[in-house]
Amino acid sequence: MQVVFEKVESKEQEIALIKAVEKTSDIQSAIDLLENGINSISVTKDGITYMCKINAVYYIESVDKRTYIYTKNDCFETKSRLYELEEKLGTYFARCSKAMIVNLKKIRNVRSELGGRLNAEMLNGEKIVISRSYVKDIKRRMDL
Amino acid sequence: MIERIKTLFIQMLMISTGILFIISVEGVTYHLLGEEFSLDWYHPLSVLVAGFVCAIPTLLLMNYGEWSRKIFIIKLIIHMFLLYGIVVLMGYIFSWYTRWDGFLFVTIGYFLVYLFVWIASIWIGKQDEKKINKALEAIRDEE
Repeated sequence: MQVVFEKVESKEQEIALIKAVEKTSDIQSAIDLLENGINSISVTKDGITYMCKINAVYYIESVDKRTYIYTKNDCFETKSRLYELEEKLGTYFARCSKAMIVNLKKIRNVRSELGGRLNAEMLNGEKIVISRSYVKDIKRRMDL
Repeated sequence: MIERIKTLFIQMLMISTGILFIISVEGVTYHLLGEEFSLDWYHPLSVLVAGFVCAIPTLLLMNYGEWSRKIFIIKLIIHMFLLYGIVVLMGYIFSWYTRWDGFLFVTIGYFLVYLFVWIASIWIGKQDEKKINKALEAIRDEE
């Protein structure tokens, strides 16, 4: 693949455009790296350590000071704290409650509820709640 | 903490505006009926004080936490009548009304404003829902 680099004057002008026939796993890794700064997180399950691809993460939850990473059909534990992951991960990983970060790319749709909160249905059918106080930040991340 | 103070301030301004609206309608109605209506020097300040007092239960009951729909509706009913009690009490203390018809104005006005605020917030929520769903379409991963 031909790679073109063009220097720009400011951070706001920075953009990466990938033109390809299909989105391969290599291209997805490159996207994750560009968007999130990292493309995988070290996780454990049943004592075995894995590297979980960022684009496989649906949401991350903190329960009793432990951090769990949820993918389409699985759940892993990570040593990183929620706030550390929040700092590392990119624009599309947004805080949706005090104890949860959601991957906006994995949301199928949202429904507004009384009290200003949103109910989000994930691509795997799971439902999560986006608290009222975090809706504004999510809108900002999506340039709304 | 700063977020809570900000919310308290916003709630105070919103509730004060609602109370001011009720008093304004009361004033206009009295004027149209040819009756006398005047405000004392402390009335504008009393509206702000009432707004602040009403903002406290609003902040405690309605803003933080995640609840089921049932709990939310119970909280909403408690909130509605608690605020009504505060508004009526403040109205009595600060003489926003001196006669029964004034009291009726405050009562009807309060419930109309309360209903309007909720209808408006549901409408805003639905608009947000549409905008967010449209934006999600553009970024959604293929599964």
